[in-house]
Amino acid sequence: MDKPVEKVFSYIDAHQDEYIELLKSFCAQPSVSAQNLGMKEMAQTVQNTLNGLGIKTEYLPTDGYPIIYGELPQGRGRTLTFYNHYDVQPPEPLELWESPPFEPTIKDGRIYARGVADNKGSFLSRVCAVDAYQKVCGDLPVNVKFITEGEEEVGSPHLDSFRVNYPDKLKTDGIVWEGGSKDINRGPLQVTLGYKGLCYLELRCRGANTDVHSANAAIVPSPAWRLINALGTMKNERDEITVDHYLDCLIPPTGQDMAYLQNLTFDEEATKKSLGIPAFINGLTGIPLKEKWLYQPTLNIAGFETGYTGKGDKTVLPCCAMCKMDLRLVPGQDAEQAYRLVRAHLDRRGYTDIEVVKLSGKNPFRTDNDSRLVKASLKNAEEIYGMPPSVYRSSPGTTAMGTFCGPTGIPAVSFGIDHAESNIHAPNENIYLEDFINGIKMTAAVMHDFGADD
Amino acid sequence: MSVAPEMQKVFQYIDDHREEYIELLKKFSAQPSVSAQNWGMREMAELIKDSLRKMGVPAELVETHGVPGNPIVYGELNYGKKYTATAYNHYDVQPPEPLEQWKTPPFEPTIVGDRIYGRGTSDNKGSMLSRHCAVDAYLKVYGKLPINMKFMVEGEEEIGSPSLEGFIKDNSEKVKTDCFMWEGGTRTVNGPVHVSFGVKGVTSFELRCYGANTDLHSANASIVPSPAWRLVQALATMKNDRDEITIDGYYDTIVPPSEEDMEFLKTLPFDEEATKKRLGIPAFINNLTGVELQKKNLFLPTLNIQGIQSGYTGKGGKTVLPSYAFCKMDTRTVMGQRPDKVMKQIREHLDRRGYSDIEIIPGSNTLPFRGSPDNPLFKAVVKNIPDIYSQPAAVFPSTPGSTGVGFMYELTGIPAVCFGVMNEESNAHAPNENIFLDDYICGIKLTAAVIHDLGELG
Repeated sequence: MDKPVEKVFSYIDAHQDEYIELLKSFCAQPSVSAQNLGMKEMAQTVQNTLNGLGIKTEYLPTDGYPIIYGELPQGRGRTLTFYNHYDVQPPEPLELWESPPFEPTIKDGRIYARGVADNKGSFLSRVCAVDAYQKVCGDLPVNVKFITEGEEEVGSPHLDSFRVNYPDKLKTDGIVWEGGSKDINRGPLQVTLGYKGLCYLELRCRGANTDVHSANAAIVPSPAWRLINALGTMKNERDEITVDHYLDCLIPPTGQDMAYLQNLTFDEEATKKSLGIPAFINGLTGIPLKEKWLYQPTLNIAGFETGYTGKGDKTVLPCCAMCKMDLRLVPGQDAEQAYRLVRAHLDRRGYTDIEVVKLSGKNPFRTDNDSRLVKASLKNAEEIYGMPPSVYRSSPGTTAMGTFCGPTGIPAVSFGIDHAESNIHAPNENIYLEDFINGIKMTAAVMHDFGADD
Repeated sequence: MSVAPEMQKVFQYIDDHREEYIELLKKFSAQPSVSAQNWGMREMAELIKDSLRKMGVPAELVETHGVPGNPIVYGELNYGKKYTATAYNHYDVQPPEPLEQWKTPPFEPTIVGDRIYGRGTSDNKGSMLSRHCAVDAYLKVYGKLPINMKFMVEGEEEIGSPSLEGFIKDNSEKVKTDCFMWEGGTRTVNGPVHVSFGVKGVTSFELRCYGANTDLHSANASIVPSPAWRLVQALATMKNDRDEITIDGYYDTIVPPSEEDMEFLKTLPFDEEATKKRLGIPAFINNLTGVELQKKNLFLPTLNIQGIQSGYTGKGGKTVLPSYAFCKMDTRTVMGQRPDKVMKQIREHLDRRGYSDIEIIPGSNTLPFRGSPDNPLFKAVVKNIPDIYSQPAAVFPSTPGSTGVGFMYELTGIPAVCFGVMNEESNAHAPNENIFLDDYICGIKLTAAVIHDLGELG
């Protein structure tokens, strides 16, 4: 490891308490985008904090909550961008919290608070890394940009307009994306190189203009059955998506992609036990299970509703049926194409009357394996955490990474300070203090290597 | 085939006492008798008992032992004749809610134009009184009936007749009869009166499918089993897109309609275009029309989805993999099917396809029944309708709906014929329930004429 980075690490160790205090002050400020709680104050705090590092910030209003943009030109050849968000999930259900969600509490090496993992801890790991590097080396090895939004938890509705309206601000050589977790506590760091996309659809089927008595079921068409029969053509019992041409354009994983699967720690037995399921889909285990998990698209029923669902029975033939579906997409697919294929599949089978509404879409994205940012991230993850990282070539989940990086080709990598039991989006959200400090070091080291001369 | 000449006097009496019979209907409809709310039940039963006694029918309240255990009003005129008919009716009504949608108060019977409005006027107090007043008029004119007649009025029909089985078992002599005039019936507005001698049964049940022990982030959908998909796929094996039930062996035991049953389909007044327009549908299932449509409607079982719920169904999108899905269903059964057999077929169908984890929660049952057109009571009804209503009857060998008839037949072996004073705009179970006053009067005449004709059997 380079000498300057060792000095930065020592500085970080010596100033742990200061950084943890900063984390506590951030977590004490509620910033619930879904409930418009404390958003203005939080945006101001983010801006003030970045200003304190000498970063030139801008408050960019949107129709929702502002994006805090900052840049610190250092006259370097490369620019590294940190994308994070300052909004958090609602704290409810409050009664399940063991300490108040907006009173950060340290217990047994962990700090508990809403937002401490998602995403304030990871955001501050970037901030503190810049701070420590500046304190030790005077200036940074790269030009730095910060894009910190306030609407991630409500679907990042204004991120694409940022891309379109501020191409110069987006211009960069790599993005350290949001945050990340670990497969197991004190285990290897997850480094994520891409995400599945998401196409969210609502299928609506209508019959008569009113619910009718079920005595009419022999002659009056049932939209519930129609929707069931239509859905029955879209996936088979082996969980294979049977929408026409849906799998035609998938880009299969490469040898390197498959090799990454070897290092992923996935405790199948523990997961099955905690979920109370006898087996994963198709009884898959090992590499085939991981391959399906990370590299295959999904066609999920997120919700289904029709007719009477209260107590007892009601002899009714419902007049409408609705199904919400989310489709996780992999490279080769895009959200608009997925919607069109579903539409065409239904039309071809005579289900032209079933309305398909696309509620949202995000495209899949995978960063180039050979990019400088990927190499810097993987190398330092191994050195700092003392074991080879778990590389997620594609996360099974979805972020806005594709929104920025799909059209621009900018490399992006996610890593952060969460762990397997961080309870993000749930009560008792927490991180290990140790992971927070390591996250600061990791960010500093990646900055260093990313900026270093070849 | 026309009304017997002896009936002229009786019809005259009915016409002369039209106002008195309408007053009686108003009086009965003004007494709330909501079984679901236990409101006015005994008062109503007393009212009927007293009314029957006043007409000359020995009547009593028979206590029942179900829950809630409302009494059954029982009356009997026994002349030692060979033939006995029983009028089965019910005195309980549906709750009047939603009250704000009533144009007149539900328990203040109000005549507007040629209709009378009030909760229970159509279901079932009008039809009940058409039987009772027919006997009254016949007795006033001729002093006695040409047949034995029994009256059974229960107070729990709208809540599923929980005490009826106990009553039947405890009172076999009272229940004994040749045929029931069952409950009531409807007519097409300005069209034919509907007469039926059969019903479909209905068996309700729920399918439940479980996945993980908690809802999960949908990013897990590629590896964690989805109970919603599992239920969808299981259901998709149970019916195809031509609306054919594909449960193994489901149609094997059903009794097909006889040639005579099929002939009756031609009498049905079903206005396909008006119905499609009213419901806003482009076509009936499989574009069926005419006799084929009615054949499916009356003689084939259904497998209906009442409701399905799984996961997130609110506004916008939640990326969740639901841990639970359920489907409420009812199947209308026809002659040859039995509830226990049907449930067994569904269980075995699912098991055979590996869906043994899908739970079946049984619900309520009624049984199918299809009688014979040779039934004298049926023949008498159909014979008298053309003169009284100026048009022939519409005959349903089986109705697409379900009543307690099948259950009664199962327990007693006694057939039933349904006809009454409602019409297709009577709003039974809904606000502004009503009947036409003329239909009420014609219903009285029809019952009287049927009683007379049955007298020829001795």
